[in-house]
Amino acid sequence: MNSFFLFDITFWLYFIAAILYIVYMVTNRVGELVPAGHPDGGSLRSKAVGQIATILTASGWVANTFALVARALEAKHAPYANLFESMMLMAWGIIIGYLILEYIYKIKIIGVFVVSLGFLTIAIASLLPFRYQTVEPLNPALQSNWLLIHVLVTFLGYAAFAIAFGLSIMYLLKERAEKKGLKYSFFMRFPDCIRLDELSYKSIAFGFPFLTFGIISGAIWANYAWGGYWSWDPKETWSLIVWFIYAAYLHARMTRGWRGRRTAIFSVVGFISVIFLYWGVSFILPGLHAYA
Amino acid sequence: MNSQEDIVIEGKNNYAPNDINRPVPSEDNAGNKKIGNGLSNILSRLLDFFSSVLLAISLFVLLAGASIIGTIIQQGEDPSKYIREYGERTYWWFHLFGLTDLYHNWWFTSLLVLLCVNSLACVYKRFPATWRSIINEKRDFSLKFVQNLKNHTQVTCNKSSAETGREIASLLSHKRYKVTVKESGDGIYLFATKGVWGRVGAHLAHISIMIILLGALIGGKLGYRNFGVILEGEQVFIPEGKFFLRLDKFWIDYYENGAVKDFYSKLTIIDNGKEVLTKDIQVNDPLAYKGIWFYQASYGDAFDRIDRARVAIKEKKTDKVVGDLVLDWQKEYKVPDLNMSLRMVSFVSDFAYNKEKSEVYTKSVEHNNPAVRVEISNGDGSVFTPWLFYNYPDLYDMKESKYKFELLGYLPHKYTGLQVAKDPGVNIVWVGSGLLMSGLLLSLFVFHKRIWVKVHGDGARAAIDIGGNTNKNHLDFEREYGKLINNIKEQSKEHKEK
Repeated sequence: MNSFFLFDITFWLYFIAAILYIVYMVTNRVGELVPAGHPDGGSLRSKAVGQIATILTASGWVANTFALVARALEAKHAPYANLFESMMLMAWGIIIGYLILEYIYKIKIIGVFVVSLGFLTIAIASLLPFRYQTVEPLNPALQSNWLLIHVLVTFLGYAAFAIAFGLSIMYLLKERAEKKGLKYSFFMRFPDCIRLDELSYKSIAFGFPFLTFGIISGAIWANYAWGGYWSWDPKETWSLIVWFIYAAYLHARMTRGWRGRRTAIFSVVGFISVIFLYWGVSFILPGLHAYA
Repeated sequence: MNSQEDIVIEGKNNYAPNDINRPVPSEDNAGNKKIGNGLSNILSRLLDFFSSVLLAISLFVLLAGASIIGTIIQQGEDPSKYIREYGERTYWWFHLFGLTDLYHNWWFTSLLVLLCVNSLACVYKRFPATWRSIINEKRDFSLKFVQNLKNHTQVTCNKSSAETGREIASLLSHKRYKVTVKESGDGIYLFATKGVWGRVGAHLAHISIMIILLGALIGGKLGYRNFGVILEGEQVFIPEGKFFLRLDKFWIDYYENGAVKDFYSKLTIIDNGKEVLTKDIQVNDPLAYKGIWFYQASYGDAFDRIDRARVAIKEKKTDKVVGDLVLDWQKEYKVPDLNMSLRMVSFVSDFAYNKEKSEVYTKSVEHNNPAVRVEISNGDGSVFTPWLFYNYPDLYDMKESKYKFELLGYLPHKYTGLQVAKDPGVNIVWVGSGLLMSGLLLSLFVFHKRIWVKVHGDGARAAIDIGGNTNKNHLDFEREYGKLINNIKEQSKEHKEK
């Protein structure tokens, strides 16, 4: 099947799922005894909405997977060799990460932020000019098995940081609502601050080794393709900057015992630098990674 | 009753959920509080400073900030370019702080060295304690110790203490804990542990930073990176390896749409007069010999020679083509019909003429105004050497001849662009990278979890005191601990039903 058709299906499934998660949040009235975001909370109707949202998200992810496979078959190379394809991979990573989080922690309300981030990724990709979306033959530098590993690992890292970003935004909103004593704010329906903080940390702890291996695999590849494992190319340098930021985050949290607001802001700053690493470097700073 | 609430009620869980911004007791403050004599006091303060996490965080932030500056200001350009773009005064500051070669300047290097010192000082300070906790697990403990743990639960069941002890031991080893059981007069003491190696992770990661930077240093001092071009058939001497490198062939593959698919060089190494190695290299597949790597980097057309030229000979009067021949580089070509012979003698890609020296030269390496010089020997012994211009066929008229010559086309001579690199530190960098990965995985995903259980009782009834802790990831541990307590309770229930 045509990969564009499958990408379209993915787009609509994520879109409806993201809306349903918002509906779920709005209709999910939380009682005094049941903590926010707890599976037992809310009316039967909102529970059903939540279920459908999850099912659509999971189906969207399956469609996303098939779209990537179809793209790989059409292009006869790893299905993430240009900007459009890499965004599909990033959405794929964000959504599978979210599904795993929901499966383990049963907190659907996170979907409001995280599934919509996945949808946003696909939406931005679909707004790209068509010439960025089509299958391109690989240029000589990209013809390597390292493409398969390096890009996959790097983008799973980005996806984990995106999830952490969504959770940190939720944390900041919830904390503000708590401080202001806004009892009836939607934000009060978010999970406990401590939970959001912990999950955001976990996403980063998960993403960091991926980013690290992304950098290392990139270095190994560069050593084969460009004649040196490190050339201070803007993409390389920015990946190192992002690495420094999250390394600082992990040290602050694990050893200094930073929690809550400070780490949430850290995580937001980290993700902004990830976006720059991903988009900013490609469009603003010229370098060896010009094709991605 | 909800079993989760049980734990909260029975266990001494002091965790205040709302107090999220409360800092967890920092490991930094632990130890090193002894007041010694002056010198050792200073040394210990220095060690505290250099091993502190605050220094690490500051260094990460500084390095990130500095690296950002390095991506904003173009690196390694000619001074004139900076002066043009930023002005002389700004360039003076750039020069002072080494901002035009930021990643290699003294202060950036110092930050990296400081990061190294920081991570090593941290290992030095903390590793002994880590090692002690690895080899000396707390297998001997008292009931009081269990009861004082933050996670502590008491369960009673109608079973003999020996049976309960066995059950809990098998439950814990089923959960992949390493269990030690000790029986003593007042009951059974169980100690279970797993993930102790997670404690080494941070140390491995810290050491790996030094190894990676060491590899980079060795590469920077003893290695080199060069770029060079070789023409087909040409042989160059590689002084660093004392051998010759010959380009046998260069070729390009194209996609159907005309885009370049890949380009290849057939290279031969000639060492001590013998051909020792031949390989077709391409982008992503270099040739390595004696630690020197040759990478396919680029290609291009030579500016001073071509492989073939197609020349048409026309009769001036009739403009009729009387000869159409393909000349090979510097090879004589006889045209018996016209009683002449042609030889291509030189080529320039961008024709220019130096009046003073009366010399032809090429203005650039681009093929802007390609011209071929042909030596034409006539049967009567006269020789002409006209320049034939590809872009201006009628420019050069030989009055003496009744023919005119036109350069219809030519096949450029390709050169291959090779990146030549030697990096004796690269394997050290890979070792460091492997260590960094394993250190990270251990430190982020393997947690040292310990459970202490004391079972005591009289024949039919047993009282179980359970406690546990972990070095990291407390929320997950509490969840796991809760599950464990539930399992133990279920086991005691099963018995009741029987």
